[in-house]
Amino acid sequence: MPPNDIRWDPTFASLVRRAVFRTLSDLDAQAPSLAKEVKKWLGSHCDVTRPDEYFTHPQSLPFLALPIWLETSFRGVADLDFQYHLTYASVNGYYFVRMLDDVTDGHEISPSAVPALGIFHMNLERAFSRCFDQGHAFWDFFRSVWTASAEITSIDLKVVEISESDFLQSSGQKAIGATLPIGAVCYHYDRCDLLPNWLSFFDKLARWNQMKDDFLDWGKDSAAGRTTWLLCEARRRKLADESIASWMGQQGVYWATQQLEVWMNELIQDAQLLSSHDLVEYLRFRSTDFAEQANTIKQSMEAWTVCLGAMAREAKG
Amino acid sequence: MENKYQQLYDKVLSDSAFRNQLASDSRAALRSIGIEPSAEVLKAIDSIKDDVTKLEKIFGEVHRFAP
Repeated sequence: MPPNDIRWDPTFASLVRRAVFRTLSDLDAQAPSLAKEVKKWLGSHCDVTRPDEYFTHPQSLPFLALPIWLETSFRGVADLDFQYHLTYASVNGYYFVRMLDDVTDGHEISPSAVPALGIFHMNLERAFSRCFDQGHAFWDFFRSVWTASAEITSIDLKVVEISESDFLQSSGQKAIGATLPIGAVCYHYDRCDLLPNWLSFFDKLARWNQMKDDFLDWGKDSAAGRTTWLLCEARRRKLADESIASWMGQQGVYWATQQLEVWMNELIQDAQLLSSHDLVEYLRFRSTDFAEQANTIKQSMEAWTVCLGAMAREAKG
Repeated sequence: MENKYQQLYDKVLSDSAFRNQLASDSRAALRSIGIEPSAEVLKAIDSIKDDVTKLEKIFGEVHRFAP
């Protein structure tokens, strides 16, 4: 795959498009006033004319592709009808979690959009109900994952300080809802032997993704007073009279990018054991893409430091 | 580093609006933090505008993807 581009399988891209547009068109048909509010809310996150691209963007967490890669890893092909239900469930589950986060984090969202939470949750459950009868063991997995998702959301809202062990334990858990379709594939094909390794992999992938976002957003997070592990580390490690920005420029960028590089190498090793060629290829793309971003940041920061030093010396002398 | 220059360093690393202003109107950006730019300073800023723009492209990007 070339840098800055992911050539998604057209079948996958089509599944995502169908699931997203079906969600929105059903809402349009059945609850037009609510649909209007939901589209306004969506417009704050993505291009509403192509809301599917929000999920297929090269920088997105690939939680819609993972169930397909998992199924393909042991069957050679994916059952597209089954996968469509999983994609539809995941899209609605994502909208549920995203909207709830926006409400609890105090982001701008019209109260008139919030009743959509009930619709998204109903759609999520209905999609899985098409794949699993009542009483199927999958529903125990569903209950434990969805409960854990609510628990971590609640805990996360109270966090004021994040240590390394907090981050290692909780960062992957924040996206735990996205493991539902992974579990669904394992339960559907009676391959629960694969579940622990895929769940462990997902946890690490979500952790990498969270750290990458926290790194790229550190300036915005710092200005908004948000708590991230990176900013907590910056406060702990910087000198008493040093600013967060100065620590980031001198050390934080190198520390964070090295951490991300180590974790990405572990992810690629883990993915090789999962027997998914597509997943390994995807990670190699993300690895190359991030390395290019990191190099650009380092080079630009170094150029800026040299320039500023010269300016300061000239002003002094 | 003198305070004003430390502030300039910090703002370029952390403030998206300032990076944009520095790239489009460096004189106004510098004055906003109390630096009266000499011709040499403006020339120096001009020489690293590409780097400031690159930083803005990466750190200033508004997420249009599923985090």
